[in-house]
Amino acid sequence: MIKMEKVSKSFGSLEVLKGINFEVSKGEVVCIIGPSGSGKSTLLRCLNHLERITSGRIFIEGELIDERIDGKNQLKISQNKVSELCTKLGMVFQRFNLFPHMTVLENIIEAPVTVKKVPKQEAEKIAVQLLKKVGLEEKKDEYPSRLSGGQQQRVAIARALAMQPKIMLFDEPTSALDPELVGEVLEVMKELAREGMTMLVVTHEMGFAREVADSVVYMDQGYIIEESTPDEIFTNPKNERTRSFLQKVL
Amino acid sequence: MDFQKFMNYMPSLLQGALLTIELTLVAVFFGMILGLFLALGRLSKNIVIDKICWLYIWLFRGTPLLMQIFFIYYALPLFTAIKLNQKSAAFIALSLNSGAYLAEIIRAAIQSIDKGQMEAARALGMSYGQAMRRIIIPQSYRRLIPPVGNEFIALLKDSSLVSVIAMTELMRQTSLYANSTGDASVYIPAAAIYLALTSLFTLVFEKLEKKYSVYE
Repeated sequence: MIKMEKVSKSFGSLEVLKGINFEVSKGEVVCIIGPSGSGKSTLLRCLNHLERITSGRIFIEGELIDERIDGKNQLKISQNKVSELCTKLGMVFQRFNLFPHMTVLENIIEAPVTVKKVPKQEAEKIAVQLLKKVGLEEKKDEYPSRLSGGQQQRVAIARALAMQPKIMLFDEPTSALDPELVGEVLEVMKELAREGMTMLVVTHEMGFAREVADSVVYMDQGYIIEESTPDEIFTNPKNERTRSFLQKVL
Repeated sequence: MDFQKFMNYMPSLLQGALLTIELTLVAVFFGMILGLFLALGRLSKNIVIDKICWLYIWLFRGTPLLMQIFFIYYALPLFTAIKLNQKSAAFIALSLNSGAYLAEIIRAAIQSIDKGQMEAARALGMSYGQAMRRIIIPQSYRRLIPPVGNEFIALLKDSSLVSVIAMTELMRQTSLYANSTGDASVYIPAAAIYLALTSLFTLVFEKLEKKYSVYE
């Protein structure tokens, strides 16, 4: 589903990803944990081209969507094709990033109508179903500023799902939430996982990783240090760095 | 105040005021369009486009408006085939000038929108143009209104400068009357009209700001 080959990413002289090899298969839920600055978010953002890699190759569903050598683009396909491939990836941000000038419903139908040219009525029908799924049907005509953080994040999940992505990327989806609101967002994510969605989740919620993930990746200083099942990594981490990180957070 | 005298100058002052409003509205309208393109140009990754827009803004903000008016009306015909009548010269000079100021206002408003908005739009598959049109620019409206209101009022007063090329807007109507009758007291009602206009448009912009604040 997702495959990264020798992916490196530098911001100026700072190298944040150092030769990452990484795979996610269909229906898998993979959680990425690690200290801040370890490159977790950057890895996620490279997948849908919010950041461009410096070198390496990225495949989505077997199709090459980025290939660079020393910052030079090696990709032979058109920008439009790349954008199309990127819509297979839905993304949920730490700070929700809902569009404040649009109502909840308008937020959700915006991309399907503008990008995919789905008729407005049809998009609205789907949007209402998605809102039901995240438990916010009655909020469809509210502006985001009237919702709590947890509600905003659930809307953001619905908005990403409206594009019918094959893979969902979550970039610390609960880090900006008050503690009492974390549960409702994780609940929605668990539901998605149960339905078989392929998910890549950067998170500090060890409980969630333990319960939901098929595999947990520990990243540190731009490297993937360890990848294993949650049981294995939480009870018996192989690497010293993983162990000391988990001691601090658990 | 002598009523007879009042009736003498008031029609021509109001006529002048009408032209003042027309000049201001047209200049702000075309200035906004020009300013939007200049602002997008300044934000462009293409260095050539960025520099051209920068040069334009530098030129029009860095020289006196009065000089630009003279230049467009008197100097342009000397070394180009462009010969404009007074009215077009006045409209064009004011529009070109306000475009430069409005460009910087628009650019600042666009840049003040949280970067996460562009990222969210791009992550949803929108192109840069779609994201600008649907997400970023609409959000900048409310932030644009106060500085555009300022520019509008500044322009309403600066439009008096086109009196130098014999455009009979409010300022010129007033001085014509004062010169022909020797009665300089006519500047008082003229000032009152300017004040009334600036107050009116201040009010309009305050209303607009409220209207665009609904979602905050």
